[in-house]
Amino acid sequence: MGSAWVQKYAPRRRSEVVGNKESVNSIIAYLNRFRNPKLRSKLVKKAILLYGPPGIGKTSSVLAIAKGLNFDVVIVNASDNRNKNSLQSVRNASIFSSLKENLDSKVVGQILLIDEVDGLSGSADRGGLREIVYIINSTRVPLILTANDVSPQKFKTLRKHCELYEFKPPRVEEILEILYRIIEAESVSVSETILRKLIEMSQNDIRGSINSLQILASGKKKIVSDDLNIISYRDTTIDIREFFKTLFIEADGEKAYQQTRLLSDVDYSKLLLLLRDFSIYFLPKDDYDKITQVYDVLARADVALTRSQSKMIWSQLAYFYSFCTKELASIITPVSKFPSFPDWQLQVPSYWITLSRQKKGRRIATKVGRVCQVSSQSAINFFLPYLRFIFQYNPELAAELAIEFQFFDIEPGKRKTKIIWNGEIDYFVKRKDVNRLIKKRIRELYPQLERIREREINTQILEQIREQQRLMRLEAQKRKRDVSKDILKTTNKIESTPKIVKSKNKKTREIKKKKKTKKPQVKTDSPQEKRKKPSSEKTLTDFL
Amino acid sequence: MVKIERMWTEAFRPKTLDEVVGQTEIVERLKQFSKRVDFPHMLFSGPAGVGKTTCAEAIVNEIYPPNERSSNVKRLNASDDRGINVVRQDIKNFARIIPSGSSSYKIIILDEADQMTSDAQHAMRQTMERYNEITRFILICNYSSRIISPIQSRCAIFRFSGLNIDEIKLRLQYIAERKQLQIDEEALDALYESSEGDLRQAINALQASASLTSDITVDVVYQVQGYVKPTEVRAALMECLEPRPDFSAARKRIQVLMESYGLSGQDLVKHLNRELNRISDGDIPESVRFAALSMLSEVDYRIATGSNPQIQLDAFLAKMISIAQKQR
Repeated sequence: MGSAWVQKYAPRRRSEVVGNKESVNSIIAYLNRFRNPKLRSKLVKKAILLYGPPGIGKTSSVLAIAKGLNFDVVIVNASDNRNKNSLQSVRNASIFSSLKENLDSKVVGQILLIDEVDGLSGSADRGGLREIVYIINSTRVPLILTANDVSPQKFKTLRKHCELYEFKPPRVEEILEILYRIIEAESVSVSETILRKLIEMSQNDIRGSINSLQILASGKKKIVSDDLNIISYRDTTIDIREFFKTLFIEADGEKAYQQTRLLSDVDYSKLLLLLRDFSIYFLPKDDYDKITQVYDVLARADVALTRSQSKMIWSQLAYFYSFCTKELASIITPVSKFPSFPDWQLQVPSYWITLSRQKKGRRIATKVGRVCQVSSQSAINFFLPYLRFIFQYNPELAAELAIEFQFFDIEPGKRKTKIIWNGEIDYFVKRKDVNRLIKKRIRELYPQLERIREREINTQILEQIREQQRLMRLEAQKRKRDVSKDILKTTNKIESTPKIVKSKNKKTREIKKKKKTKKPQVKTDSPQEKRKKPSSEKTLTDFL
Repeated sequence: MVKIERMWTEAFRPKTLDEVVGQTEIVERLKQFSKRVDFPHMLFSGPAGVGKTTCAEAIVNEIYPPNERSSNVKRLNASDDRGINVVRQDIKNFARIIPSGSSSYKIIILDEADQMTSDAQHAMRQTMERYNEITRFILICNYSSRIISPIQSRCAIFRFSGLNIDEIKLRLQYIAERKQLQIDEEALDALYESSEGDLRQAINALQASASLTSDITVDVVYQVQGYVKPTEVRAALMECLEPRPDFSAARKRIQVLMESYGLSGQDLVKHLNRELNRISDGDIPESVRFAALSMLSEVDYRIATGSNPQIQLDAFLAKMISIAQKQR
């Protein structure tokens, strides 16, 4: 069959590039400016970024233009490693490769093409985006980036550093032209309706329709409409909105069932949660039977999903899908158009939001539980409600309790300690003025608190040292006198010494008790006693 | 010098057995034990907020001088990890060390021990026996039935009962005096009523009331209780039982409970179960109540086996609405 048609029939010249005339011209203008040293210095943005849906000629245009103007193209695409380090070597190349210009008479320069920048993996390509911005700033060769979608926030810097040119899907007629040229060259006979269907199925994606065409034509000279079945909606993905259209407007359960495999941006559980969130909009408010049926179906789908994932009974997934599509479609009343959703764009299941708030509550409960000696579960039930009340109505007290529960972190700085809020106080108080009052009060209290703590620690250590000294003395006395009568005497002595009198009476009673219980141990000189002695001496030397 | 206010449940936790309110017989026995400085493994069981942990801490205070407490006592409560690995390593390692200082044994306090898995409990059996000479366990739990019987048989079991009205009022009055609060008899009664014999909750309610004013009347107490008690559970159920039920409103309430009270799915099912049983017969027909309970049991099982609580509770609420509607 030979090579892939996509490559075989890729545009070779600028004139062969279909559609997006303005953007294509801008690429040429950019390259010309970059070649002219005078104009280059005037370039404010040193790179260009081409964006648009896949398969409509972004990369192909660049390659075709480069060929026409005798540029070499170095491509860095998603198959390459694009983390910080590997991009650094690209950057070095981009700085020095301009030297090559004169070596080959025909080649006038090089273009660096970073393909699919939005495909940078968050974990594997860590630091990649920032490195790309460095490359833009330091490059000496023309730099072209392509992407499908650069609207997310993380591309903000990138957008600022590049000239942006949008690529739009070509018209059906333009793609038809290309396909006709191909079937002519390959001498395959295909009707126009089939070609149009192919284009529609791929959503005006040139690459997609050429690929589909090649698959249909393999081993055949004539393509009939029945052949279309084998590629039904191949290569295209649909978003959740499309899926919901099939389900709730067309109410076509069978089609929706097929589409579940094509959903690219959601996984099983997210799909289910979104269905849970949005189903309510497609149900008449007072048709309780229908509401019950729909949520019962979702609950059963949830059970099937749980079984498939936690018990690894994968066959349950089929039931999950058919509950979510076929059965759901059979119950709901189709609507003519979508009601306006408050957050269509976000598409975050409300359960995820609930879960993250719940987690925060648990974290706080653990902190409270540690202080109050209860489990986080009990803290939620017995403490958090009261705390919420106190935080709401008494900022002064709230501030003091926040200190006790350590609802903030302390970062010691050179001049003053910094207080870092972790959102615990925001969790309890939604009112901004009260919230501010609490935080202000904590800042006031904290320095004083620090001093108190220092003093407490000092006195604690002092007490420990005194205690150790006392023990040492007792040990020494014990060694001298081995008769029980004498030990009784020492207790009398201790009672008369001023140090012990200072401490509470209870303490002396305890000591007496201890002495009495120790008596037999002294006599028998048990192994336990032997092991104990050195340990107390050791800690004493540590202290002194 | 600044005095930083603390949680009163901690600040006024009795330091000695003499201070402990109620449980007179148990306290008497424990005093004997701590005097002889010898006691068996112990199991404290009983409802929340009646002094189980406090008694354990008081024993520690009576037996050890302050500087020996940290090295001779290990506390593990339910917020710590107490899986089988902790039992086999941390607890065992602590149990076999010779006690330091003057005492002849160490104490391990396991709070909320009934929340340990039975595997972890079995792993503890041998540790309790082998290091009996130098280590004593105090296990604290709500339900002694959830402690495996081999462990129960190794322990002296103390059953703590709920505190009565005089005991709770006595302690509340003591705290009010120390904090210079004015509190009338009626308010004390209201505090007892809402606490259901749980002194911890009563003290928390007192502190919350005192955060509003130092002159505590019954109205203040009610204001706190109205804020604190999760009325949302009942409200969500009533939303379903009304002549014109509102499914969206009901599930919104459930969501609020999960978010701002941090209740897990199974907590919610527990609350729903309790409220379902409490709603008066006039508000809910018997048949609806039983149908709802049987559904709830299914929901409980599904959530326990890993299903999504939100979706399952949605289904529960919806079904309850249609059953209640059919009754009309």
